[in-house]
Amino acid sequence: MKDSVIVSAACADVAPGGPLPATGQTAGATFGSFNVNFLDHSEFETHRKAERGRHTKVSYRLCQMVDRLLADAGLTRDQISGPSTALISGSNYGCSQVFEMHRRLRKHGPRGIDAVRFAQATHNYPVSACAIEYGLMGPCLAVVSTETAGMDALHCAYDWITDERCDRAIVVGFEDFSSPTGEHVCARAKDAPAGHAVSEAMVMVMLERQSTAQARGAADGKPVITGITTTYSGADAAEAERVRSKIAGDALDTDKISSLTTHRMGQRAVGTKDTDYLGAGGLLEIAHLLNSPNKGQQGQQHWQVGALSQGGSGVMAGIKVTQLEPAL
Amino acid sequence: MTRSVVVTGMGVVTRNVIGTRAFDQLLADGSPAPGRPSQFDSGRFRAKNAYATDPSAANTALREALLRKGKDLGLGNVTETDMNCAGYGLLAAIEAVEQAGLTPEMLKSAGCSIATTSGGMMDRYTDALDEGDHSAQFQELVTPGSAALVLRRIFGLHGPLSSFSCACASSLGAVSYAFMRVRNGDAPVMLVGGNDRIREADFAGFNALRAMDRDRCRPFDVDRRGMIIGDGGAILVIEDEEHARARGAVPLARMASVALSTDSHHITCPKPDGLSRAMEQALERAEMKPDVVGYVNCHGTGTQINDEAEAIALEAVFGGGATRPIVSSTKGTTGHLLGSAGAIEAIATVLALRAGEAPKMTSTINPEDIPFTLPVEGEDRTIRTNVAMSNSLGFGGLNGSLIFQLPETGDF
Repeated sequence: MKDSVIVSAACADVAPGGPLPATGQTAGATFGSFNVNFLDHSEFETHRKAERGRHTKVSYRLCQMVDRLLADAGLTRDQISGPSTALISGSNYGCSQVFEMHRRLRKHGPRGIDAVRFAQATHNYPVSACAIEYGLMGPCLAVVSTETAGMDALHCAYDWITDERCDRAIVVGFEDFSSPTGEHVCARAKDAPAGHAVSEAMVMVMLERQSTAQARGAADGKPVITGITTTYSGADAAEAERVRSKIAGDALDTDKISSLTTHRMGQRAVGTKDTDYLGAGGLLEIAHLLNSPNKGQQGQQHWQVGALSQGGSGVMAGIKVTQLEPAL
Repeated sequence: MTRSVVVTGMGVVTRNVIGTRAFDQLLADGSPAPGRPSQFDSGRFRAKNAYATDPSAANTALREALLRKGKDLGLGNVTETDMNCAGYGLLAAIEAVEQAGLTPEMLKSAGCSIATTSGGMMDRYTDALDEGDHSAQFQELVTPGSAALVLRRIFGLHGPLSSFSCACASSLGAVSYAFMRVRNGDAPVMLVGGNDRIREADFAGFNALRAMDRDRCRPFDVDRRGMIIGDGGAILVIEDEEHARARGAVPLARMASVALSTDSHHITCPKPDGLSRAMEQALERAEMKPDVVGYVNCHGTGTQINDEAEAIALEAVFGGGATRPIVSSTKGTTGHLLGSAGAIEAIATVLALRAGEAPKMTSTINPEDIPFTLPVEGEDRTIRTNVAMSNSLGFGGLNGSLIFQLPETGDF
C-alpha cells in the first residue's frame, strides 16, 4: 500500500493584519484604503553586523523558524541532515535582494556590486543558506510562481516524497517587501480596491512520509495529505469534480470533503477586509488547520485548501484532519 | 499509474540564432567570438563581452511568427511589454508548439513551467520609480514568474503553471515540475523551458566574482579562465506518450528521469558528491546503469572550480564502467544562459542524441587531461548508445540531472 504523506509540524510569522478593522489604521503603511503590513525585523537588525556575512533578512528568519519547526516536529538537526530531507520555498515576489543589486549598480556603479552581495542575490539564497546550515542534501528549489507559489512548493515536496526522492521536506512560503519590492507594493496602492491589504509573512510546514514519522512515534493525529492537483479559475463542473476526486485520495468519497478553505485571494472579490499573504497564503491555511482545526468539533474532517493566482491558475490540496481534542 | 514522458517539440532563441535548425548549425559550426552586449555599456567592467541575443531582431522575428502562426495556434494579443518580458520564450514556444503539432484545443489542457534567473521587469520598474514614473505600465509583469503568466495568457493554457528561480539550476527545477505533472497525469502536455534576458546586475556580479573570461568561454580547457554570459529562450513541449501517439505525433526523445540534489557545502563553490548523487538518482529512477549513457552534456561553465568538481563527479559515477560516455559543454558556443541554461542544454542534448554525434567543442583548444573523451577537434564524436544525460549546477550547491533516451528501434 502506498505510504501517505503527513503534515508533521507548522509555524508561521505573519505581519499584523488578518481581518483589518474598518479604519484600517493598524497597518505598517497606509496608502488611502490600501494597507501594506511588514514583519518585525528588529531581531535581524540587532544581529545584523554579526550575521551580515552569511544572511539576508529572509534567510535569517528562515533559519530561525526551522529551529521552531524542528522543536514542534520533535526532530533534531542530526535527524534532518543528509539526503533524505528536502527544502523548498515559494514566493510571489521572491527575494528583494535580487532587484536591489540593480538599484545598487545604478547608484554606485560596478563598485557597488561585491561578490558576497551578489552571491546572496538569488531567489534560492534563503533555502540554500539554510540547507548549508542544517546539512540538508535532498532536493532544494525556489518557486516564484505568483500567488500560488507556496502551494506549488507544497506540490513539489509532495511529489518528491511520494516518488521516494526523500523522506521529509520543509516547505516555506514567504513574502519579503524590502526595497525595492516594498516600493512597488506600495505604489500599487493607488489602483487597489478599497480595503485591500497585503502583508509580509513566512510560513513553514514539515511534510513527512507517514512511515518515517511512525518510526519515531510522531505520526498519530497528524493531518494527512490525501492528494494535490492543479486547476484554474472559472473551471466547469467536470473540472471541479476532477479536482475533488484527485484530492479525495483512495479511501474517501468526494462528498466526504466536509469543508472548503480558500486562499485569501479568492475571497477578495466579495469585499472582505482580509489581508493577502500572496505566495504564503495557501500554506498559512494549512498551518491554521494543523494548529486550530475547527474548534469544538471532534472526529475526522476532510479539508480542501487552495490558492488561486490573479492570472487564473490554482493549486488544491486535500487534507484529512483527525480532531482528537475538543479544542486546541 | 505513471505515464511515459516524451519530447514532441523544441524551440530556441539565442545569440544570432532563431530556431532549432539554426541552433543545431551553430552547435556544429562552433561559436563566433563574443561581443559587447547592446543592452548596456559593458565598457566599465573588467570582462566586457557576452554571447548576447539581439532583442530587436528577436522581436522582429516574433512579430513575423505571430503574423504567420498566431491565428492557427489561437494565440492571444501580444503587447510590447509582453515582448520585453517574455519575448524570447514566446518565440521559442511558438516554434516548439508548431513542431509538436498542437492545436488551440490541445493547448487548453496544457500547462507551463518556466525557469528564469531574476525574471519579470522589476529592474525596469525600479528605474521608472527612481525617475518618478509610477505608471502601471510594468506593474503586472514585475514579479519573477511573469514570463510563465505571459505564456499562459498568450497560448490559452489552463493546465499547471509554475515558475522556478534557482540560479543556474532553475531549468532543471522547471523540468522536474513539468515531468511530474505529465508523469502523474495532471496534464497531458507541458511547455517547459527558460526565458532570460541578459541583465547588467548579473554581468556586474559575475565580474565581481572574477568568474568571467575576458576572451571566450573554454570549458575543460587547460587555459580556461571563466564563463561568458549568454541569454535567450528555450522551450520543450513534453507530453504523455500515449497522448502523443494517439494524436499521431512523433516523439523526438523520451524524458526518462530527472533528479535533484543539494551539496550543503558552499554558496558559490560546488562539491562533487552533490552532483554525483543527482546523477546516481537520475540513473536509478530511469532504471539504468551508468554504462548505458553515451553522452553527458555537462554544466561546464569554464570556471576552474566548476569544471574540476564536475570531472570528479563524473569519475565517481562513470569511472567504474566498462565504457565511458563522451562528455562536453555547449557553453563555449552558447555562453551561460544562467537560469535558462539547463533548458537550452536539454535541447542540445536531444539534438546530439538524435544525430548520434556530440557537438564539437570548438572553443576548447587545449583540452585538459580528464578520463573522458571530449569532442574537440580530431576526436571521434560518435555517441555509441541511445541514452544521454544533461547536468546543471547552481549557486547554493543545487544540482540537477536529466536523462533522455531514444528507443533501440522504432519511429523516434
